[in-house]
Amino acid sequence: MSDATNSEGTQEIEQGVSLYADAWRRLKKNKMAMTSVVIITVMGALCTLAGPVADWVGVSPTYGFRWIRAQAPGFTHVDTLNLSGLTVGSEANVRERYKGASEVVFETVDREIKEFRLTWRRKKVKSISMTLGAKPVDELQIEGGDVYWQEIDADGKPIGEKIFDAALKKKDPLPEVFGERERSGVIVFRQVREVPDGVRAYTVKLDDGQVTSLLDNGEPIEEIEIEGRIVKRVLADGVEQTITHPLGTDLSGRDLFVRILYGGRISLLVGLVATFVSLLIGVVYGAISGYAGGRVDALLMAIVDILYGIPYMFLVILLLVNFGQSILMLFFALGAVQWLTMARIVRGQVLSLKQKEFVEAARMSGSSPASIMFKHLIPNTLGIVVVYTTLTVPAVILQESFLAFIGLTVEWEGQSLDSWGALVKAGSDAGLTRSWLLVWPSLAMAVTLFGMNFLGDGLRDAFDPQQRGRT
Amino acid sequence: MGRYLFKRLIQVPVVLFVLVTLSFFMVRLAPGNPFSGEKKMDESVQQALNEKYGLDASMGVQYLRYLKRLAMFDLGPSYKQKGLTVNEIIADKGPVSAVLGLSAMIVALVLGLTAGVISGIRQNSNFDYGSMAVAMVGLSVPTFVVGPLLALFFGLYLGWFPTARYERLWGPIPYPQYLVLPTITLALPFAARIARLTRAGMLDVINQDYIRTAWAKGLRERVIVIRHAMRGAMLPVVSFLGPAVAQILTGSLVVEQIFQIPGIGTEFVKSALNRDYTLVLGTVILFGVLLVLFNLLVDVIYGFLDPRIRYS
Repeated sequence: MSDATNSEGTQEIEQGVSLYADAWRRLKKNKMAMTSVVIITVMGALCTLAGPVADWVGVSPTYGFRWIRAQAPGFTHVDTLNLSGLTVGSEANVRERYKGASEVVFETVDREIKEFRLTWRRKKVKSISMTLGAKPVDELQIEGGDVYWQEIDADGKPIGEKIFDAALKKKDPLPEVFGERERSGVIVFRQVREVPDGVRAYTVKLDDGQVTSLLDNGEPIEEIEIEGRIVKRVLADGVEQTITHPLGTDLSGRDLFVRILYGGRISLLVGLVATFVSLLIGVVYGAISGYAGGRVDALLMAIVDILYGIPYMFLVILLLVNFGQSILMLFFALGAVQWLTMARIVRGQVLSLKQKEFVEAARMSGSSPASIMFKHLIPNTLGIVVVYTTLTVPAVILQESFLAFIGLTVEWEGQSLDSWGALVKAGSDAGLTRSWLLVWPSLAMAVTLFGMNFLGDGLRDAFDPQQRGRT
Repeated sequence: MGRYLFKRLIQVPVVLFVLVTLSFFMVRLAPGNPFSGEKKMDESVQQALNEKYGLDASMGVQYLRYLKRLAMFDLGPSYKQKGLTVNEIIADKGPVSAVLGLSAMIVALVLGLTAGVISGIRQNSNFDYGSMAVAMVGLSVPTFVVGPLLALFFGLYLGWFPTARYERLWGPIPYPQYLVLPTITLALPFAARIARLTRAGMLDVINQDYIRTAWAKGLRERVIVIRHAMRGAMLPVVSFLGPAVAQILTGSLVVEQIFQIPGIGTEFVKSALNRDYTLVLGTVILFGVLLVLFNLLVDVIYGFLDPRIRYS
């Protein structure tokens, strides 16, 4: 260690290494910090390029393949995005990647749907009946496969998991597949079966992206409107078109990977902008306080002390609840929380810097206080400001996600923007059977925050080696 | 010391005043009032309600009235929970949160101090590297990520602990199995910070002259570590306790929501969302008072632990 110090010392005399060059050299030696730089860069790039990445995967963060619902990572299904509205003579509203094809075939299959109504009392089956026919039956065999059974709500929307293989018999206990239930109750569920001879083929002939003709099982038609859920296969020039969700889908069939990237974009944006706001307020406030000194300093710092004693997050919550959750409000609110520490740090630095000779020299040569402050004092505090800024960004991201988690998602023009916190919240509500919804957003967030904290620590060690190993 | 403490004491009422004023106007200046959201209410009924709760007076008058009541520790009636006063709600829900907060604090102190002291005296050992890596995880991974993951793994997958339920055993104290996961979730980031601070403090202290003197006197290691070194090493930990309380208070908002604990944090979020003015203000003020008192307490303890401050 002493050798290293020696060589550093001589080097400094010979070349005059600047503080920043020296800090950069020290940072490069810190493996964890450099790994963090890589992680943050990759994450940042992915999130910034969320739009192009979404196009590449072939999904949008808001479009849900509702009929597939929550599916595990790696799930592949028929690519049915942009299906509706194909009219002869107009531009084909189909996927970019097969717009150049000359023939696209959509194979669909009709489905037969029967609804059943099951009532039970004291956890024992009381009656089973078909809701339309109202004909009670004593037994019902449920089998999975291409027939699926699912519980539905009053609007006919599916609830919960599909039901595979169960035997319902009057007076028997309620089968386990129906999960934890009240002692007595009613559920409506439906059987969906594909009609064996209900297969249709819609053929779309394309010429340079224009629809030239449409065929329904060989019969020419003018326009087609196909519902995504009944499409079994899509063939473009004989090639099957599928879509894969690398991290699975959420409850409304939206691609999780793309949603994590878009969420990260919101989180990072809030983190950076709010930090910038806090930087502006904090640096100017701290510099004025430190430079003015005396009574002004005492007063300004007393204000900071008082504001420090306030439980800030609670006020931020009140602010967002009462005045709307616009992203602009959030920038301001979170920035306002963070500037206090920045102001203290900058003040401390300025207080010691203003005694130095170069400030004296500037004053002698007739510089105004403002120019001394902005040209000489503030630039000299930048090292420590940089360190503290890198530690503020993850703190702000954390706070925003915290707010999103308790239900205060950010909004922009009335649209809610789901940040990482909102995704984690959705995942934690989704339960064990859909654990990927919790695990992946959590991981993305944890890795990013981990990286930022390590980088901040590394920078602090680099700028101030004496502080190495402290908090 | 006396002068410093005096200065801090004067700040207490100022901080509380600023807090009360800020939150009062933040809540009141928002459009709408607690009763405007309810389904088609007769205008006369609305007026009667406004009159009953004093909402018809001007903002300034309402503010003065609130301050006057507050001076007598009366936080007023709840607007949404009919027949209950805010004082009653806080007396009922507060202890539940206090039990959780205290148990988290105890766990964090025990874990953090043990890990920190051992890492400090056995620097660069495997234990040191291991516990500091765990501490970094604890610091970086937010409570609302750790909580659901713990609930998912230990609660739902392994089935060791119940989740999303809370049954009281005696008073505010629940059956222990309901407390395990929330406590760990809340304590983790806090324990991580304490461990890092303690380790740094130990490293600082362990090379100082008075420790060498203690060794030279032939004292046993245990005595040196506990009696001499820890006292100095504890200083940064003590000064962290103030911010830690703030962290635990905000942390409990999410932890209570994750594990569905009927505490004051849940009450705060609920009342903020449904405009229960008095309850929101009451809980914010309660949090503020706790924070201020803890910061003050920390200052006093700090003075006692560090003779350099006591005599200056």
